[in-house]
Amino acid sequence: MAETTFSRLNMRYGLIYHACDANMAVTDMDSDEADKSRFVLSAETLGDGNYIRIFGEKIPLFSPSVTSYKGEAVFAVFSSDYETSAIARRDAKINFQKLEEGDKVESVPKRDEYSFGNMLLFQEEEENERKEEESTEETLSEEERNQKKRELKKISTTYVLERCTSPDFVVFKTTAWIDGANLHIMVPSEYPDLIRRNVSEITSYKFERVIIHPLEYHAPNDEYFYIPIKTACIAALAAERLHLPVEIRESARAERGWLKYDFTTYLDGEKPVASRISVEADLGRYPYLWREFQRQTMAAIIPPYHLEALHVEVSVKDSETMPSSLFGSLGYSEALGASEVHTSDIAKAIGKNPLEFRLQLFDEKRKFTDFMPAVDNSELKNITKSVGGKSYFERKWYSSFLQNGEFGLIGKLRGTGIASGIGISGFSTTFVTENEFQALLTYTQKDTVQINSSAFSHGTALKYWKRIIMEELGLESDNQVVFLPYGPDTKDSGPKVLSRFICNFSEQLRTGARRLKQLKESEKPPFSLLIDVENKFSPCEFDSGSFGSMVMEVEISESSLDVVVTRLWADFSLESVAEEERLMNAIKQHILRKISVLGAKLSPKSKMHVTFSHRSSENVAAITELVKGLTVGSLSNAIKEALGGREITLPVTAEKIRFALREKGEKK
Amino acid sequence: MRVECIVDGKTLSLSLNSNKPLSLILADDIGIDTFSSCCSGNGCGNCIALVDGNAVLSCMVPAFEINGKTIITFESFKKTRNYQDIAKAYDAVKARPCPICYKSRTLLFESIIARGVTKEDEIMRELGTIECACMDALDEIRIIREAIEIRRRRRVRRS
Repeated sequence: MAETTFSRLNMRYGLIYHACDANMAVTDMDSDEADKSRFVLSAETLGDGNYIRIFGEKIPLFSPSVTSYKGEAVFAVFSSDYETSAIARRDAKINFQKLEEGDKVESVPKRDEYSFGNMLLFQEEEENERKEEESTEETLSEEERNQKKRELKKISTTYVLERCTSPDFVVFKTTAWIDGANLHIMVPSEYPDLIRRNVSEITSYKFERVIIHPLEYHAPNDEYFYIPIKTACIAALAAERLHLPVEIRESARAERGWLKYDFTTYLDGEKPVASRISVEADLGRYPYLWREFQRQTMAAIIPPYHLEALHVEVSVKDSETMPSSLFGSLGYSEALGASEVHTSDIAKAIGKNPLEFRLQLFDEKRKFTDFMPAVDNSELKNITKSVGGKSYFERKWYSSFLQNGEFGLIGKLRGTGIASGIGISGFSTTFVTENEFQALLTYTQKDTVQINSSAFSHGTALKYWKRIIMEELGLESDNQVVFLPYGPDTKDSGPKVLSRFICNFSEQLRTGARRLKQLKESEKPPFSLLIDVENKFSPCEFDSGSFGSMVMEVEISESSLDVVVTRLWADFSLESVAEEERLMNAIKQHILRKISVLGAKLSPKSKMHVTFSHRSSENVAAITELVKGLTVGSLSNAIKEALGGREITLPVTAEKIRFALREKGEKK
Repeated sequence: MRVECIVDGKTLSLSLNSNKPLSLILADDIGIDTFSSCCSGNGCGNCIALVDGNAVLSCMVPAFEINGKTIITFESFKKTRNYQDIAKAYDAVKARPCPICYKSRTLLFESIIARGVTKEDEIMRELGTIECACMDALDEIRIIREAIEIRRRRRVRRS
């Protein structure tokens, strides 16, 4: 890797001007170009080079003529210090003109469907009549007609998660400088290769000549996913045009889109037999990861229990809001939470407590689908039972019936919610295959093995991978295995830390090491081998290995209408754990952050009881999505229970609670 | 205006706009990137510095307020033995703040410990300065009490 040396003597410091609203036409812009000490970059100055590509989606660096969303970059101004740039940005005269409703371009929602079984058997009567007129006469057999006559009970749930923003507004710096024929960029980024590709396309520097120096970062809600790619491109363009080092200061933030889940489940007695699920998602302008969102949502929304028929439809639309980033999970956690809310609704509708209902539902093995493998549910059943027992869930749930969501003499509402589920590992197989995450293994003349990839995680994973190579190749010292840091020769654009890589890369590495051993006998070193980080022939989109269950107890105060989490019990069963203390801290932090994002609070007297067990296998499964999903599910169930089953959208606010209680009162 | 202050042990004389916040002075004029926050005074709590020993939100402190004051940022604080006490307390309690608020929360703990605040209610009130929800309040109180104990033992040994 090249050294990060550059002079700050002639550095230009840049700030970005953001649009005040969406759908505003920039009619006139005067950013004081006469002053030569300032340099301005905008859509006008860039022309055709104003566009970058993020996972196939074409995104402008600056608003071309009409602002797409509030907060979009309109121009960047560079000068000798930040104070001057700030003054220039403040004094810029820009005339915006709000577009008429008719001038807006409506986008077509992107739909994806998945189904098994014959949903026609479970259609509503009126819909059946319509279908019968059209085609069912031919499609339904006599046996199926008899089956249709079963008396089915229909349970529906609508669950809405409103748009929300990450609580941490963190400032980061992007530095670009030219060193001879190379363009260097220093930026905190999860996808350095994506930056290299984009920078090489919009500047005159070839891919090999762009050198990225990734900075350390902490992004609990994936704040550094999308914005650093933009700032790196802007800084590169400015450095190229000015021939001076450039630094941009920008805030990293993340937004989660608006999500709506509609569930309809048909019950034959107490047994669910069919489900129709429809998911609507608004992922903001330029939904660059919509296909991955659909896959993750499908993986979470398909219930772990047996159904005769299922139909899931996930539609993604874009709107005039900031592009949604991953926000810690790309749809899996939210979908898992929504699915758990629906499961509790079914239990309530048939007069059972949610814990008992869940235990009754879980079959021995989960049905194999395109998205999830046939996982053994017995571990999930055990964990759910254990958490239910520890938290005295059944007693608490029955006692909440007495209150039934009305303020009594005690001046507060209480509710207890449960959620349980299976964790997935990172991104889907399709996503990883599309993005060609690879690793280069080189056997050198000095009998050492060099591994070049950006998929490197923390030290424990590296130790584990070293052991694999040493075992397979019969190496004696661990100094013979070298992991190269990210550099110009790195072979993929994967994020730095992703459990899926640890899990799949271990298996791929073992296969690669065996092949190296064969080559060693026939070839003369040095020789190299390019392997995929991911097994491309995996039958399912996701791997699973972790199970978890969570019970949450909330109180809603009559005076402030604040939702306070008073007690929390969680238990997880994982494949392997590298550092127990670090994992425990991570679990707690994810839970606390998610509670905060969803609008609930913790009091000083709140208590968390988190435990986990592991099977010490070679497999590694992500905990983040599962923890967040269970937090969403159990908190939503608890709030719903406290409000006597009234629907409420998250993030929760005092106003929403007041409205929900008043609405019920009016109906009475 | 001309402002004279001591930042991380260095005596400085700076020419500044009187309303420039301390967070920007540290970042732009002194070149200390110890914290990063852009809430612009909305109180995220991630820009804490010690001004005369008190934890303050540096985005809320204008330039004229720091005239003649001693400012300590995390960059210099992490080299002290007082920091080691808090770091040991993190290990003892087996809980630590997330990397976003680590620096600010550590300085806040130091401010509480140095001023001898031990009552739970008072500690809770002070802890509310930081918005980041990565830590359990009970863990924070345990860390403060553990750090006080570690520091007391260290001083006893020295004497």
